[in-house]
This record gives sequence, C-alpha cells and structure tokens, in this order.
Amino acid sequence: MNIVESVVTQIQGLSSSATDIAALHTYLKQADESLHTESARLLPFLDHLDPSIHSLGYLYILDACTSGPISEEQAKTLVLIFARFITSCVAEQIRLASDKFVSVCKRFKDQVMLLKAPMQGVAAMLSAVRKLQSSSAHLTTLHPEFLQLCLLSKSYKTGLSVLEDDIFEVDQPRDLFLYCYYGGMMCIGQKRFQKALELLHNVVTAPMSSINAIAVEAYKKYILVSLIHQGQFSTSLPKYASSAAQRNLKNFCQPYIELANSYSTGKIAELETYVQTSREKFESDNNLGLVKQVLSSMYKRNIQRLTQTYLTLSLQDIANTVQLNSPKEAEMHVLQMIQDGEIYATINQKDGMVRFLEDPEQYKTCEMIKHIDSSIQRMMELSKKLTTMDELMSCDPLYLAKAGRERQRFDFDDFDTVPQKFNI
Amino acid sequence: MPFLTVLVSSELKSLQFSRIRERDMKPMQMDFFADMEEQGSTVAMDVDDVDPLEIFGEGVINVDNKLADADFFNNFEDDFDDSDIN
Repeated sequence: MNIVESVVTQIQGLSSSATDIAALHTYLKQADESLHTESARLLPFLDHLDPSIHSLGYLYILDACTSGPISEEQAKTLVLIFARFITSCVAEQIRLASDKFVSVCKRFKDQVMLLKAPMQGVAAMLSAVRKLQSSSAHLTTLHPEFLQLCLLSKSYKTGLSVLEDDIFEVDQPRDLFLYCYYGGMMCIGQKRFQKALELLHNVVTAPMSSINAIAVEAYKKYILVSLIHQGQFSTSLPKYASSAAQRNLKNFCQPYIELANSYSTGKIAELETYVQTSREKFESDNNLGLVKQVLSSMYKRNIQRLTQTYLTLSLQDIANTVQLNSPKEAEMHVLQMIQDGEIYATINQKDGMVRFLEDPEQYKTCEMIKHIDSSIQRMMELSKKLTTMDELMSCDPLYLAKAGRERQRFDFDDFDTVPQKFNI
Repeated sequence: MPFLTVLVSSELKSLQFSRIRERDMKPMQMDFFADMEEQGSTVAMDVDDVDPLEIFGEGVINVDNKLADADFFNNFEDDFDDSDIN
C-alpha cells in the first residue's frame, strides 16, 4: 500500500473519538511532506472521505492537493469542493490545524476571485470564520477575507452580522486594521455612519510603529464620513493615537483636509469648486461617491441651520438661502431629511410653506426607557470587562518589565504624608 | 462599542504610571526609608507629556514616505454615489 492509500486508511480509521483524532493528527503531521510530494494524484482520494466526519484528514489532503498553481478551469471544480468542505467540516477537528485551515480558506477566496464570483464565497467564508473562532470575541485572520468578499459582492447585510460582535482577542494587528477598514466601508454602504466612524477611528488610532497604508485610506474615509454625519471634522487625533499617525497621517490626506476646510466655510459654491478641482484625486482613491455625499450633506447642514432661526419658511426662501436651484429641489431635500429624522417639519404644499417643529421625543416612553436601560446594562458589562483586562495587563510580566524600566522609583504622591527625614 | 482590545491598551498606556503606583508594588518599609535618606529631592513624574508609545519602543518614526502594508487589497468599486439612486 503506498503512502496515500495508507494515509486515507488511517483517516478513515481514526476519526471517531477525540483520542483517535489526536493520534491521527500526530500521524498526519509526519505524513504531510509525503502528501505534498504526491499532490498531483491526491484529488480523487477525497471521494473516499466525508468532510463532515473526516474533517482533519480531509483538510490535510485538500491542502496538499491544492498547494500548487491552479488554473481558472481547475478553480471551477475546486471551488465547489472547498465550499462543501468548509461548510460541513467539524470545528473541533479543523482547529487542531488552524494554520492549515486558514491557508485552505484563503486559497478558496483566491479561487472565487479568479472566477470573478465573490458571491460564491460569502456563505462558506462566514462558516469558516465561525468555525475558526474560539469565541465571538475572537478576531481571526479570516474576518478581513470574509468582509472583502462581502464588499466585492455588495453583500453588506451579511457582513454586518460579523461586525456586531465585540472583539477582545486579535490574532494579528494587520487583521484588526483590515477588519475595521472593511467593516467601516460596509457600514458606509448601509448608511450606518456612526458605526463606520467608530470602526475607521479604530484604524486611525491603533498602535503602529510606522505609518500604515490601511490607516491612510481609513483616515480619508474618516474625514468624509465625519463631514457627512457630523457636519464637521477636527484634525487633532486623540492622545492615545500613535505618534506615527499624529505626525504623518495628515501629510498623506491633504486634499481631504482641504475639503474639510472648504466645508467649514458653509459656502456650497466654494466647496463645489474645490471638488471639481480635485475630482481626479478623489476618483483615483475611489472616494468620489462619498465626496458627492459630502456635497449634498452641506445642503442638509444649511437647512438644519435654518431650523434654529425660523419657525416657518417658504420653500422658495429655503432654496434661495441654501443655494438650491428651485423650490422643488428644496422640497425634495426637506422631505428626505424629515424621512431620515434629521429635521422635524411639515410641508404645506398649498402655500409652499415649511413649518419647523420641535423634536417630539419626550424620553418617557416605554421604548425609550428600555433603550436607555439596555445601554446602561451594556456600559456596565463593558466596564467589568475593561476592569478585568486592566487587571490582567497590570500583572503581565512583559508590560511590567517595559513600564518599570522607564519609571522613576518614586514620585511625589509616594511621599504624600511622609516627612522627608525619618529616624527609625 | 467594540474593539476594547485596542481601546484598553491605549487607555492603559496613558494610565500606566498611576496604576503602577497604586498596586502592591510599593517598596518595603525599611527600603523605603533607607532610600529616602539618600534622595535629595523628589520630583513628581510628569507623564502627560511623554508619548506612551515611545516608552514602549514604538516611537521609531518612519520619516520617509514609505507605507507599511501598501499592498493591501483596496480595489473596490465606488459604490457610495447616491446620485445613482435618485
């Protein structure tokens, strides 16, 4: 019996109990190199295995037989084999060889990209993420791969399901950068601008020893989303942002900073001129769509400003003040803003008058109380989590060694109630 | 509010010195007094001006224009143009 048949027999015989799986794993690690040398003839042997029972063995053989270059023609067949394996494999088995599982999943992603069919990979990749995670708080290296497929196939809602998880454990820093950047884009696609800002903010302020391209692109979108959602942008980064980011990010995003400066004047004509001048730059960054949203948000800001001064105003006056082309355009903007909850108003179409109203929310409904209560509960949970993480980090030898090296032995508070000289 | 991993590490870096003071790592009484006699004056540690990341050896600034992870995938269609919808 040659090595491949021998491996298949072992897989079939040792996949039923945890003890058997452990023994199989040891065997497969030793046989891995031999499997790779036989890669050309391995594919048919997969038919002798059931991925939902022999997951670990299937993984090793699938990895070995797909490790070389794959043509588009081969990808059409392999994609189905990969998807079937990923969706039916047993999580406990594949976690024993997580690196191999990650390689196989990335190869699967490459194949759906080769076939220009990212949608084909979404469901399987989501399954892969859930199986690889040790908990919902664990960010794996497959998360960004999954989000990338969601973005390419415009499956924004599917991607959002993963973004709802709180992350407390990260495998690689690069995973976090990509996860937050792609996640931010997904939220922009769903117009969840507040969440997009949080995610992009995390990229921009994450620790980095040198300026990172992902952070640069995230900062560009962060500026645009800040303008769209908040009507303003500040160039100062929080104190906990890395010095690499503090000193370098702005240099890579000058056109966006200038856009924000132009926006702050409140003059739509000036902003439009600037956008035209720098259109090519925004287009090459694939940010022109967002820039156009920034432009239309300025009309919204200017209309919102009117609600602070007037109780009623005609559509004509709104159009003139905000520099829209006609009362009809003004009506469309006002209607959209009412629908989005950005202003409270009624439009009398008979006389073309808009009446601005107060926010009707009284904060005393059952729904509001439930909402506030659940927010409080969440804050309490997060606070407990933060305290636990703080305590763990405070005892971490690596952290203590580094912090201890840099501190003075004593500082002023240590001597608070103690006299300078003390005779024992 | 996810990603406390990053937020916590950042917050902790700004709290590092005050936390170390508060923990049970204060020197033994005898050592404390012995060292006091040797010290001419004490100076309150001013940590606010210090970049926490520099203390952790992360402050080597790349002053040229080279970007890390410049090969990351970012080739997405611009799908955010709302004017297509209306």
